Amino acid sequence: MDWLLRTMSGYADRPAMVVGESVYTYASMLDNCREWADTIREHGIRPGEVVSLEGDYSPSVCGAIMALLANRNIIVPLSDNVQHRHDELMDIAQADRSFVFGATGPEIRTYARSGHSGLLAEFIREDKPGLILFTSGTTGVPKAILHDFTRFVERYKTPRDTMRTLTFLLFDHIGGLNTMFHTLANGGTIVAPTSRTAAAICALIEKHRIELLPTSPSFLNLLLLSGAYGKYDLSSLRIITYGTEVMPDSILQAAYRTFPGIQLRQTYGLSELGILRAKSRASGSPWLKLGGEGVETRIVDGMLHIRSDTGMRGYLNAPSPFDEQGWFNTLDEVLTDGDYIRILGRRSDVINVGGRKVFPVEVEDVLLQMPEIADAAVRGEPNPLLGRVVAAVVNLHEPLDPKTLKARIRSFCTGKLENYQIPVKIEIRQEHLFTERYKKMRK
Amino acid sequence: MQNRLSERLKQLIVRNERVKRDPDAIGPDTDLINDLALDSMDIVNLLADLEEEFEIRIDVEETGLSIFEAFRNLEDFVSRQIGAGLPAKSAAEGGGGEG
Repeated sequence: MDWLLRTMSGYADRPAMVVGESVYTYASMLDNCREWADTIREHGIRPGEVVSLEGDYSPSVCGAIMALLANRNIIVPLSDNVQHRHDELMDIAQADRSFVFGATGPEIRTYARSGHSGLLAEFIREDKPGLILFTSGTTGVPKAILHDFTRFVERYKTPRDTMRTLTFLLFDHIGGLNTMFHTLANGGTIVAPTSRTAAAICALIEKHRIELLPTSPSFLNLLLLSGAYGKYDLSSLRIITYGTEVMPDSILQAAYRTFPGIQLRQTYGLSELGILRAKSRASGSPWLKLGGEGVETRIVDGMLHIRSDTGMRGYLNAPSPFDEQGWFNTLDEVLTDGDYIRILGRRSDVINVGGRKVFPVEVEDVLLQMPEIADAAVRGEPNPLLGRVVAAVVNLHEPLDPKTLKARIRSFCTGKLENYQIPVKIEIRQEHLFTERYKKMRK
Repeated sequence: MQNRLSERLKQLIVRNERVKRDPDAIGPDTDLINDLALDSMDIVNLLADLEEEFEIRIDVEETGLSIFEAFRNLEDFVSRQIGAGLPAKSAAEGGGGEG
């Protein structure tokens, strides 16, 4: 942590963070960190204690993160949208304290625990700062991912370019943390949104002359559909990065046409391994090359495996996913072309229709080309004849009779998809088809 | 009658055929799988259409594929399923007279 604080002190007068109308310099961020260090001492928070941070990006949250890591604590960032599972997550993380960043200022809560167990207890004995993130699965018990922060932060020691960056991804997401540490380590500026609607994001881009927007395909689709981009001056934007889920080609091409002067770059990261260095074959290309120092990749049975020096220590509540040589199976199915890969989707999302594989994104891609359809989420449904069949949930631009829509979908998809890929069942929904993290909801 | 069961059924069958044919070419004894060459995907789509069109549930594990061995079997089955939900004349005509 010391090197990050030293590095940040070298940027003293530069703006580090913008929240609402307020601009915070690196010097004020470090002041915040020092104040939190005092608070930590006053509350007798010892190294090795597990502390959750509950809120969103702010100088105070960033200061607390840095002070806790410097105190060799294990931090658990939690954003508002996991509050409904708060107690469950706190138990899994074996948290001792919470720093809650509400409207009335930060509050520190203490929990009675009889010590730590398993992997976490082993890690605490090493007297190092740690980071716990949760997998974002919408069903089942989330897995708690433990990172050794001293290893996690290594990647930010190599100086790189930085830009005025909008922290679109939440701070308990690996992509959000990556944005924060990358920017602070390189003297850049992060602009924290208070709302993540398309119009609010466009307004912030215009107002703060944002250069880099890290986002997701679902948000890009919403941005394109909303037309908000036409009402604001987005000329400062140089790069839009997208990750967290597979990008349908139709959205990528639409973004490429709409933002011809902006580079579209795919990112690839996993909470277990961190954000990898990814190089798109060209702006708007779905092909990318993964790499970076200490990162190796291989394809086994069509799936991407990664070995990384900066991967997690392990899950707190699940068996280790690493094999004996340290390889991690991402469970992402990929195509290869020389050194480049194209991600098709999660193995768990693949729909097996009578022994034939269907990737939801392939079907969604075609559905999104229909003028009637605003958004589409494709999933498998059990079927006694074929095991599973393809079902689609759609948002429409205008109301349409379900039978007419189904007939149009079949007609449109014929020739563009194989017969078994064409949705058998269609459901029209008014609600958005993505989560609060702007990730496609297929369940 | 415009919405007679057999006509509605034939429209749904033709919609799911790869090689479209005249609905009148479908008779009571027409075997949907062998005569019309509907494959498993076509049958799945036809079942989904039948369920939506007539607002019924068809459990193929229970019925088996015998309901597709002759058009009249399907007509009888659907007629029974929709019961009072369909105009009496159409339901009563379920088995007969086509093709």
